[in-house]
Amino acid sequence: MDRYFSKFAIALLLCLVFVAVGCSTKKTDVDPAAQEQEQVEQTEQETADQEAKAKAEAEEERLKAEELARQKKEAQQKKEAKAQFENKKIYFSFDSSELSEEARQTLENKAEWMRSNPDSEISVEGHCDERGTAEYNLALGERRAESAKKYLNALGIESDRIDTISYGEEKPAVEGSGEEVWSQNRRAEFNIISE
Amino acid sequence: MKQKRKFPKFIFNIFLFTFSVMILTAVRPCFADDFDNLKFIDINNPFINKTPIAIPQFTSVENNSELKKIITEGTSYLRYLFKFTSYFEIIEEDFAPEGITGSEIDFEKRKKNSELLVTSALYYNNGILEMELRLFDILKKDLITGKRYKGKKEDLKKMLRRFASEVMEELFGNKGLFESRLAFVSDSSGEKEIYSSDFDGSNISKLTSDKSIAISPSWSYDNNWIAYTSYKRGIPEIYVKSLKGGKGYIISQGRLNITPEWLPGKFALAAVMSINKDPDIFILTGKGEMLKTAAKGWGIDVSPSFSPDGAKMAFVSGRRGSPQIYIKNFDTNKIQRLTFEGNYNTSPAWSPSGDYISYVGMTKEDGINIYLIRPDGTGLRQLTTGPGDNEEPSWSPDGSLIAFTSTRSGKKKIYMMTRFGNDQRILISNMAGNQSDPAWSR
Repeated sequence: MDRYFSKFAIALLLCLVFVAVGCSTKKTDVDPAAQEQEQVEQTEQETADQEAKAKAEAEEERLKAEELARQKKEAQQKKEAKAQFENKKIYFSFDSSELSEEARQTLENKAEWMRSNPDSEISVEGHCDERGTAEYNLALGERRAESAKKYLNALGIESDRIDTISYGEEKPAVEGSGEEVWSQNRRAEFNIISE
Repeated sequence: MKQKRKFPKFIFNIFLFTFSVMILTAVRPCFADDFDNLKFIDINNPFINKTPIAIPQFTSVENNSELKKIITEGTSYLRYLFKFTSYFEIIEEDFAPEGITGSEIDFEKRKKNSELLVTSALYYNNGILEMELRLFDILKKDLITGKRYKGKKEDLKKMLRRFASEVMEELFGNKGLFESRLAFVSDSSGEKEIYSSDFDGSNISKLTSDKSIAISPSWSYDNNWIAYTSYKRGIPEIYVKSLKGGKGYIISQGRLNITPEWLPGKFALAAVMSINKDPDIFILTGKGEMLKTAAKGWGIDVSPSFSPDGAKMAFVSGRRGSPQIYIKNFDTNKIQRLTFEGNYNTSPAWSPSGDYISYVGMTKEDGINIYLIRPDGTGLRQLTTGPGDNEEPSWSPDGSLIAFTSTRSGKKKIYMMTRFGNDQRILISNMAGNQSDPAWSR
């Protein structure tokens, strides 16, 4: 019973389609077959065009997004590199302006940044811990800044791109006393003046 | 030409007039017997006890309420001045002494509790105060000095300071203390600025408003100039400030211009600059014109301090590794190392008479403390001990006292002590924040 019904339904549907097609063709005077063909072709062409266009647009958008992401990533990397340059300090032993192996490595990274930012100019701040004499520490801070500058010079960074300033014990990074605090205050800091 | 010559004479006359009428005419009373000019107290003796001095209530033959006030105020101020020196034990007598002249004084009775005695006679009339003050040596039953002062009643303290200075000169051979001033650094405004005060830390006034970092004040030997280091323009530079309201100068060569120190008797100073490879000491005019290199070597050279004749300079150098004090002789151009104890010796301060150099030493066991040594390397003494750090010594102009910075009570404060480390006490107590870097005027 179900089978008969579905067969009947399909036949009815087909009749309806034919009637509909027949009705529409009756309205035109031109050769319906040719026109039909043309229309089909036209429709196909349009569809293809649209598809291509959409595809191109999508591709363009994708590229744009990719480029944007790349730029964003690059900017982010640049920003990180800059932040790294400015935030990474080098540290010294008590009453010393000698560069440790770690300090040299840090300075090599800084030199690399300065090479990829050839217009950049920086200032190196020399600092000391609170122990000892304020006057002596002013001189020691200068020596620390100067030894960082000298190493950057040796790595090919021009002298006139590096300023030095000593703050002695006047601007501690961490307040307080004890070796834990002092070791963080015996440092050189790096600031970008221009890029 | 004649006109021009007349002008200074006119000024001179005014000066003379003012001086004789208004200001403190000091006249030695006409006593028949003079005294031996011996130094009563030897400040070079580190073991001296305080000398007992009796300062009875001031006396007057007159009697009025105004004079009573002057007597109370004057007596306590003179006692304060002598007490401040750290070299006297004040015997206070709240009644008039038996007399004011030598013949009236009962020396035998006084011998028991005192070695010195001050007597006084005050007269007050129409706003004009006249004061006769005498200092007696009780053991020798002798007058050491007597002075008469005349001035407005507002000049009372000034007169007493003048008398105390006379006494200091008789006893110590130098009268500089009570007329001297102090310069120092305070961060009470939020930034480090330079301030100055009277010899006893009173009457504080602000000298700089740089709103950055101002440190290392140094007085010229005529006390008309103060040089200091300031970051006002971004980097440390030396400012030469006139205290007479005149034009000042900025000394700046290179990125580091620090630790100015005046040359005795000259408008010239030593300063540390980083013109060559590292910080060296140069001598410049007060206007900043380069005169010569004073110390130059591998490593740091810093903190110059001159002998009173200017022929020698003590300074800190790291030329052999750790910072040590060296002395440069400008006549021979030779440099000799002064300190050998410990690995960290800095901040030399040459005493005004030239006999000692005080400095700062840091050791693992004792922390940061002030020491004393003779310029020939003998006589080493430790003047301070913990708690806290003790540093930045500066001599009073008479060489009797040393001002210094200490963290013994927490914050950095300015203290003082005798030249042998006795009687350590706070000098500037009425200021908020940290005070440091004392510089006593010359």
